[in-house]
Amino acid sequence: MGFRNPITSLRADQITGQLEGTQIAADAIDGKVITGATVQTAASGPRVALEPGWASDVHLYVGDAQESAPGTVRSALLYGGGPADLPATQITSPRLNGHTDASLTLHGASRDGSGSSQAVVTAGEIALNGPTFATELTVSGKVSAGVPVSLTPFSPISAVTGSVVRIGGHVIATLLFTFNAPPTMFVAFASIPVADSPPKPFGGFGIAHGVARNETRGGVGFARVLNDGVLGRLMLAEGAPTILAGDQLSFSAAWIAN
Amino acid sequence: MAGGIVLPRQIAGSASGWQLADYLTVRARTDPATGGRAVLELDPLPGDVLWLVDHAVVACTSSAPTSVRWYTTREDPLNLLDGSSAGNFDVADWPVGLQIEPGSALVVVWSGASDEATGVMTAQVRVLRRG
Repeated sequence: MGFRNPITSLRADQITGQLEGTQIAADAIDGKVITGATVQTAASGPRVALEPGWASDVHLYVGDAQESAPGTVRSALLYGGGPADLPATQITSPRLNGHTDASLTLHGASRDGSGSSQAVVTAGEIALNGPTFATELTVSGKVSAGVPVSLTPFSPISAVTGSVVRIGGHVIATLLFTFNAPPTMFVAFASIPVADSPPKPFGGFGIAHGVARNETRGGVGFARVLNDGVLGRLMLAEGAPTILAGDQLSFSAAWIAN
Repeated sequence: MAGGIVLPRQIAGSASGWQLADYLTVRARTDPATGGRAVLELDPLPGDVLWLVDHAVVACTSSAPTSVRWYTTREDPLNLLDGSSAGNFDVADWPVGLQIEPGSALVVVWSGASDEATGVMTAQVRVLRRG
């Protein structure tokens, strides 16, 4: 038998049974690295889990019986295997059987510069919920820069306010007309500056719709947006509501820029 | 020798000739360690004495972990008897006795010892004498 040398290691073939201890010292794994093991905050139900086979995932289970996929925080290279890969972190909601999930993907620029950093929201609906009803969405940068509209009021419109937002090649305008006389038809000329220099003319045409605030007199009207070079032209067409003095009419319109 | 019969005969010095003569507790301490080593060399046994070590304890005052090796006569891998990687304290039992042959000496060497550390060894021995 000799000296009782302490056991400094145990090879796999030295354990023919199993280790059945249920406790280890509280600090036994402090500072150690655990690789490839399941680590979870509970055996079932709502829990956070690190699981073998999902090397870059943190799984967040809600514990529903119909849960077909847990919520996930995952990091990965999108498109896999080349300099155009996008380093991404994705947050995905849990998914129930037969239903869809939502995700937020944040990815950095690719190594070769072919792809810029981007945040992508994938969902059936996107909602902004704040402490008050009028939650503000504050954005900055080229994609969503709001451009105040500078319009010249003319009879029968006493005031026009609004803004223009460019998103890629699209221009979305929200305009509010205040009438000082009841027109049967009106034509609004709008000079809409854009951030580009020199300004681009708007091409094609889009559909605008207007809703009278006082719905007892109005209703839904439609307007065509005619291309007029650098001038946008809004013209009430079929279905125009009856407009009285003091009414306000809001329009939302989208153009596709040339 | 053709046709002759060879009869077995007793060879002098065989185990059958050894008689239990005494029980001995051996206690020894090394000089202070230098260069990480503390060495204990017991006197060689007489030519008619055999030790069977049944139990031993080794300890070392080193502040660093040590290992300990037991040799016969001299520090040589061929002469290794036993050893421990816990030289600062370990206990050994040899149910049939660890044999120290006549004329040989027990040498115990601690390695990895801090300076000035000393090693101690206590062994319970059956002393056999040639009958």
